[in-house]
Amino acid sequence: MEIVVCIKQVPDTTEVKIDPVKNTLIRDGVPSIVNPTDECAAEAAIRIKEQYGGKVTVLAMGPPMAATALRKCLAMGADEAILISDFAFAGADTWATSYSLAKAIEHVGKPDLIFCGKQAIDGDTGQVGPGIAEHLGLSQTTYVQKIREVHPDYLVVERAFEGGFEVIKVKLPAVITVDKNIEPRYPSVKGSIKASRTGITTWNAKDIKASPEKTGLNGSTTQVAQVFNPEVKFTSEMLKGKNEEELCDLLIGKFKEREIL
Amino acid sequence: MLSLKLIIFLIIAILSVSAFVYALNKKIRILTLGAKEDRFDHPGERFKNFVVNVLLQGKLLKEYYGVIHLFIFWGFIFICLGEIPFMIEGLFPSVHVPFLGTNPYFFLVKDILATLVFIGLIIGVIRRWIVKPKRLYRTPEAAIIVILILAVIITDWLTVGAKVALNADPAYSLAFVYNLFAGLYQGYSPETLGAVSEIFWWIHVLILFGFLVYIPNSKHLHLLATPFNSYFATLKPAGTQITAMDLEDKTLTEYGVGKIENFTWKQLLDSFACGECGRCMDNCPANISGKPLNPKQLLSRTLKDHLLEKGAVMNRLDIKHAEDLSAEDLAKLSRTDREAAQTLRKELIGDIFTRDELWACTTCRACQTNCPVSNEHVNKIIDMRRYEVMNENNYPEELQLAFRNLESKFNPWGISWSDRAAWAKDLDVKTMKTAENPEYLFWVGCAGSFDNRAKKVSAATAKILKAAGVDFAILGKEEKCCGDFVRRAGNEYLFQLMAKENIGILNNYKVKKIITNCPHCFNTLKNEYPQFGGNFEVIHHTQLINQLIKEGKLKLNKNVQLPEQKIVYHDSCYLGRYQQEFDAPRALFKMVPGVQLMEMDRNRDKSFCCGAGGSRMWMEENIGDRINNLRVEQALAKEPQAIGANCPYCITMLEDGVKDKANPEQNVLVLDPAELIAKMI
Repeated sequence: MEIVVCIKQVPDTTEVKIDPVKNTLIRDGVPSIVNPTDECAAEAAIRIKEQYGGKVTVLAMGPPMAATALRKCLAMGADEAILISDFAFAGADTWATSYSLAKAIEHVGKPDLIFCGKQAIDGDTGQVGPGIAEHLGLSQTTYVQKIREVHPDYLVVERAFEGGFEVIKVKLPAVITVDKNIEPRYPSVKGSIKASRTGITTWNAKDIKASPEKTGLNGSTTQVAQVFNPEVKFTSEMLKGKNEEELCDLLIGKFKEREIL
Repeated sequence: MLSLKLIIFLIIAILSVSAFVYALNKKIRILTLGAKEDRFDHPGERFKNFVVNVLLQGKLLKEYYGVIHLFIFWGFIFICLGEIPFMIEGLFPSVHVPFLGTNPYFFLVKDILATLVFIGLIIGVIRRWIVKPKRLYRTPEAAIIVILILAVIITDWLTVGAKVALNADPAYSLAFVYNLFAGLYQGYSPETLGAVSEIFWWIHVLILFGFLVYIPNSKHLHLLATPFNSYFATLKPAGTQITAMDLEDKTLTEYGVGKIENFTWKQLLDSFACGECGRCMDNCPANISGKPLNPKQLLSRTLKDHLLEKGAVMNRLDIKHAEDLSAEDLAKLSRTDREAAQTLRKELIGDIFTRDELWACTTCRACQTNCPVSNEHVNKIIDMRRYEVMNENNYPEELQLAFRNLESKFNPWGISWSDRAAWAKDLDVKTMKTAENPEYLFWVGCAGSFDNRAKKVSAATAKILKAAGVDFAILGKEEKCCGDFVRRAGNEYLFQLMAKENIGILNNYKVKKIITNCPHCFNTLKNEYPQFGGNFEVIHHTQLINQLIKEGKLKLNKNVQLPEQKIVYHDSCYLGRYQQEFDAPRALFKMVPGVQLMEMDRNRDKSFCCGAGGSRMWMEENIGDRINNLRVEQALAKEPQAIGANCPYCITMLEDGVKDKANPEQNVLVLDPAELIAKMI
C-alpha cells in the first residue's frame, strides 16, 4: 500500500507563553515539534506498512527547518520524506495549503491512502485534511481513533465524536485524519541516526506544477486579522483552612454568600 | 643412572611446558578475537603503573590484609628463583649455580619470604574457609591452588633440609628453615638422607610442573594476566573513560557491545586478570542491596566462562564473528561442531548476562576504584547498555519517558524548559544574555533549576557568590541537560545531541570558567565535553567557596547562632571517586560553628552510592533493598542530626531514605554545605 502522510511543523504550544504587555505569543526560542496528531497519522501509516507492506512517504509544507519534523517521522519508520518549500507558499490559509499539498501528492503519484492529523495545535482549524480530499476528489473520513480493518479496496475505521464513535467503511483511495488515540511510538535510536543521514527531497511550487494564483497569500480566501488573548472573565480564590471541616464550612459560606445554596 | 634421571626429567619438563604453552596460546588466541584498542601509548607511564600496582602491590595495600598477597607475590618470585639451583643441582649435584646457588643471603631472604608465604597461606585458608567473608568463594580451584603452593614450599624444605643434614653447604648457613628441617632429620643415615632428598626432589618437581600446567587452565591465569593488565590499564582520569562513539561513521552498523567478541581485547583481558578477591562486590551498592549484579561474578565467571566457551568454538571453526557462520556452513559441520556452534547463538545480553544485572549498575565506580588488578567494569556495562538502547531499542520503560522529556523539554523531569530560570526570579541573577562577559558561568543543572529541594542549594550558592562579589551569570532558558544520565543509560546519540547543543551555546558566549552544584554536570562538562570541542575550567561550588574564603573574598560571620549539630558526611560518587575531591565539602562543614562532622564507615574511595547514578535516578528500584535506604541506615548508625551531601541526586535520595528509615521526631536533615555557609553571611 502506498501511503502519504501530511505533517506540519508547529511551535510547541505547551511552551508558548503570552507576552503580558504586548499580548502576543512569545515564540522566541520555542522549540518546534511535529504537530501531535500528525505524529499519530504517521504512526497509523507506519503500522499499516509494517503489517501489509508498502511505502510511507511523509510530506510537509514549510520553511527548510521543517525538515527536522520530517526526520522525526523517518526515525519512526517512514521511508521517504518530501518538503515543499517556496516563498510562493508563504501566508497560505487552509485552502491554499491544502491545494499545494494536493499538488505535491499528485506529483508523488497515486497513493492508496493519505493520512493527516485531525488538526494542528497552532491554527486549530482541522480543515487541511478535508481540503486535500476535496482538491483530489477523494473520499474522506475525519477524527479516526482506530483502524479496524485494512483491505486493498477499503478500510474499516472508528470515527470519534463526543461521547462515542461510529464505524465507517471507506473506499480507497481516501484521506483519513486521525486523532490522538493512535499513540505514536518513540523512535529507536538506530532509527533516529538513520533518519539524520537520510536526504530529504525538496520541491518548489514549479516542481509540483502549482498555479501561482492558487498558492500562498494569493490563493488564500481568508486572512488572520488579529490574534489576541481572551479576556479573563472570572477570578479564582484559594481558600485556606486548618482542616477539611473548616475548609468545607468556608466553602459553604462562600456558596451562601453568592446565593448558590 | 644420572642420564636416566635427566631423561625422565626432560620428558616431564617438555610435556608440561608444552601443555602450558598450548593452554596459554589458546587463551591468547581468544583474546585476539576482541576488538582493537590502542593501549600501547605512554610506555613510561604504563611501566610506572606496573611497578606501583604489580611489583609494589599498591592497590592491594589499600586494605591491610593486602599485605598477605604482597608476601605471597614476592615469596613466589623468590621461590621461582630458588627453583633454578634446586633443579640444576638436583640433576647435576656437582654444579653450583653462581649467586643463586651459592649466596647465603639469597637463601636467607628466600627462607624468610617462603615462611611468610606459608603463614600468609594459612591466614588465607582461615579467612576463606573459617571466617568465610561473603566476597571469597570457597571453590575447589581455590583449595587446589593453596595446596599446590603449600606443597611446593614444604617439599622444597624437606628436600633441601635432607641435603643440608647430609652435607652442610655454606650456601645454606643462614637459611634458618632449611637448617630447622635438617635438624628434624637427625639420626638418619646418609643413605636414608640421600634417598629422602631424592624422593622429595621428585615430588617437588612433579608438583611444580603440575602447577605450571594448572595455572593457565584455572583462575590462577590471574597470575599471568595481571602484570599485563596493570601495564595496559587505562591512563585516562576517572571521569574521561567513556569512549565517544563516532555516530557520523556510516560503516558502523552495530552500536555498543552485544557479543563478547565485540569487547576490546583489553576488556577481555580484564576477565583473565580477575583474582576473585571480591573487593568489587564488597563495595558494590547493587550487590549489597540484593540486586542480581555482582561485579566479581560478571568478570570472573559470566564474561570469562562465556568468552572461553565461545572463543574456543570460534577458534576451532576459524571464524572471526559469530554471525560469519551461515546456516549452510552450519549444515556442513560435524555433529559435535554443530552442537558447539549452538554456543555461538547464545545472546550475551539475555542468555549470559541478564537485563536485571545490566540495569542495576549505578556507575558509582566503587568496583573499579577498589580493584587491585585495575579492571575496568563500568565501561563494559555502558557498552552493553548502548547495545540494548541504540541497537535493540530494548530498555526499561521508565527511561523512555526520561528520554522523551529530555528531547522535548531538555530536562528529565519534563518541566517546561522556559521555567528553567524561575528559581532565580527574585534573586537578581544575571543571565548570559544580559551580562557582559562575566568571569564565571553558574551552570545550574536540571536539578538545581527544577527540583524544589535542589533549587534551595542553587539559591544559597547564588547568595554566596554575590556576597563574595563573584562576577557570574546563568544561561537561564538556554541551558539544557548536560546529558550525564542519558550517556550512562547507553543513549550516546541523545547525549551527543545535548552535548553539542550546550557546547555551541557555551562557546558562543566564550565561556571559560564554570561553577556547578551538581557533581554529574561537573563531571560531564569538565571531563566529557572536551571530546566534542568544549573545553572549560569547571569548579564545584564547594571548591569555589573554599577558595573564596581562603582568598578573603567571602567573609563569614562566625558569631552567627546556629544550632549545635552532629553532621555525618556522605561522599557523592561523582565528586568523590570520579574527581577525587573529598576534602572541599568537609572543610566547609567544619567551618560552620556548632557543627561536629562525623564519618560513615564507608567513606571516601569506599563511599556507598545513594542509588541515583548511572540513570538509576529515572528508573524504578524493584529488586532487593533500596540503595538509598541502606545508605541512610549507615548514616543513622552514627546518630546524626543531619546528613551532609554535595549532590542534588544524593540529597533527593537521602531525604527519601530519611523519610523511610528515620524517626520523624528526630527530624534528620540532609544539607549541602552551601546552605549552612549562606546562613553565615
